[in-house]
Amino acid sequence: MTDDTVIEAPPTRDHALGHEIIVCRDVKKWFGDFQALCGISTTVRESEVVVIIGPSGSGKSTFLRTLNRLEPHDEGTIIIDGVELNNDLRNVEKIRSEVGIVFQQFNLFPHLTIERNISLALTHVRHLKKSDAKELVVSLLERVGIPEQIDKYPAQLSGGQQQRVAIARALAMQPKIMLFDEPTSALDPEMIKEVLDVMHELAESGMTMVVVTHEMGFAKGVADRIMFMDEGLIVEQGTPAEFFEAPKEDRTKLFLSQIL
Amino acid sequence: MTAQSRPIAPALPPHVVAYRWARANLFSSPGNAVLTIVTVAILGLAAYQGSRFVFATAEWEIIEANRGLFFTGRFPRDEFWRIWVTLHGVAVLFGLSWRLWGTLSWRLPLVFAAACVPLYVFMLEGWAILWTSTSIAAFAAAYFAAWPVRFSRFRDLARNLTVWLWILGFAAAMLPTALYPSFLPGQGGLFSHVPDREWGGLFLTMVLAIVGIAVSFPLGVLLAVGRASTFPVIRIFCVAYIEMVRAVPLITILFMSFFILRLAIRHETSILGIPITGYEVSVVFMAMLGFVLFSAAYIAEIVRGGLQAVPRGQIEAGQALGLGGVQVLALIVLPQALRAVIPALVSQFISLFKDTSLVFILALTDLLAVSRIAPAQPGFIGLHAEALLFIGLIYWVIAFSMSRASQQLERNLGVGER
Repeated sequence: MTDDTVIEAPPTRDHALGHEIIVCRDVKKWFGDFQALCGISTTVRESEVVVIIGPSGSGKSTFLRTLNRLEPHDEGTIIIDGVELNNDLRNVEKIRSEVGIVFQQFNLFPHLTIERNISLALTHVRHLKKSDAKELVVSLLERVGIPEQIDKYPAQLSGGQQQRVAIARALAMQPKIMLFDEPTSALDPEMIKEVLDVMHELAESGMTMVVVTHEMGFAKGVADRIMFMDEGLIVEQGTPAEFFEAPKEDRTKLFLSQIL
Repeated sequence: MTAQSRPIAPALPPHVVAYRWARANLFSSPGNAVLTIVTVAILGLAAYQGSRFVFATAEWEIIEANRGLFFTGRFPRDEFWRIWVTLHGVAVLFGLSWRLWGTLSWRLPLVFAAACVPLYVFMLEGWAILWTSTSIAAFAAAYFAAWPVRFSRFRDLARNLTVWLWILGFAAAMLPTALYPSFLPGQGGLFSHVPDREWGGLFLTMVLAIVGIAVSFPLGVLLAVGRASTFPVIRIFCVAYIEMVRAVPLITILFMSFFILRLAIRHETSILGIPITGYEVSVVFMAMLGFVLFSAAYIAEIVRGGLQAVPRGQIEAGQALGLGGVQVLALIVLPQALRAVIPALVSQFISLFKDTSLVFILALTDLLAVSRIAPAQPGFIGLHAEALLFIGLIYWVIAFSMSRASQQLERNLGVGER
């Protein structure tokens, strides 16, 4: 997916961006003595697709995980769709059911069938009836292109299929925001495309997405904004065209020269 | 030998094959040859003496004459119906469960039945044959009654119902033991009191083992979860309990529950002027308590190992879906944790089952105690070997069945393992 011609193409998405759905102000986070986030301030608008790139250890995964409080931040404020993320458990659970996340390692539940993997939260958080939940599961699996796998267990599926199930599981909660934490990094090369295609389709449908990835082709083709992080800070951000063709910061130029 | 290699291998007469196998495996060197001959001699002698004892010299009358003692101790004959009713209830529930979950194969009961043949030969007579047969019939009837439900839309309902029947049946069978004599109506009538000193034999062993397992398992899971809790008070309590109990021999706990706890409960006293009535607790109940408290600590440590084996990402995935802490634990973490530790759990259950023989120190006549009483009776003096062999067989049949059942369970739950 490092097709250079994509750079010339303007973003294909023509929908208007909505209100500010994620607002971060001076977010800081420490792991012991090590400061992972050194003051992140940014906003994401509804339907925007933000791709975060950066070297490993730059804090991009940590930042993504603070957005649904899998990592609690130590300082600063994070407001998701008008609700502040803090120690109030009710806020946290409300936000989590509206923010879907897809992990690098899929994290499907190995003891449950694909159907139960997807319907678990529907029946236990949304309190749907089993029959209604199953209808939704079938339609979601059709959307990610694997309806025939419904009765299998995760271990019986390929990596790409598992990641598509993980996306379907997150979508089942009808989230307003989807977070992707290096969704293709654990996949064999031939399976990366099927997952990126699903993500592309999701972006087309107007989903707000924050994606940590090393897939530059996806970043160029789908993102509204690229955010480059290093050492716990946002170094530079801009549209794909600006970012890839005219990077301003030296660190950005160095990083781009190493990966492209 | 695999199917593919067969056509290639030259067909040899069987005695040549046997000769070559023996040369390669048994007589490959002079040392091995000596070892083989000595081993065969010892095994042959043991087998000869063993079968001569079992089939010729042993006086099995001691078992036949003491059937009641071995199976139920001094339980009054007039009250045997209680045991039979319980047995029928268990048979029905087993039949239902078997079909509704359907995780066990038919090989298991066949193995079990075969191993039980010597027991039938000795133990069944008159009414016992009838009631044993009706128990088996009740099992089969329940199994086939549940047959059509397995794949119908009532399956989940039936499963819930069966689980509740198990729990209620267990409580109904056990509560009178725990509460007597304070709450039940007095002597006489349908539920007249059978003093626990009269319980005994296999019946007592099974009651202790089943209660021990059924109660200590959930308690152990709670302790393990508590130990992993983020609340310091709960965590410290659980750690303290587990470490304290594991540092004390089982026999000490049994003694303490019998001599200290039971007497303390019986003691009439007053606190701040409020009189506290003494409360007579049965010895069997105190023994159960001892086993439960002891076993729970070990089960907690086993389950803790399982909890630690569940990857962090599983918990995060559950939380990210908006599931609460208890839901993540019950729906995601515990099912995976328990599955991972089935072998260790079952061996803990088996050792608890065998440890019940320690109740002889509380002067209860369990299966082991019976095997010491029976050869002390006039007419059977000194027939220890017969009695011990017989109860050894019973212990083995039950422990082996548990082990096979656990393997089956593991295989069936293994679906979808990574």
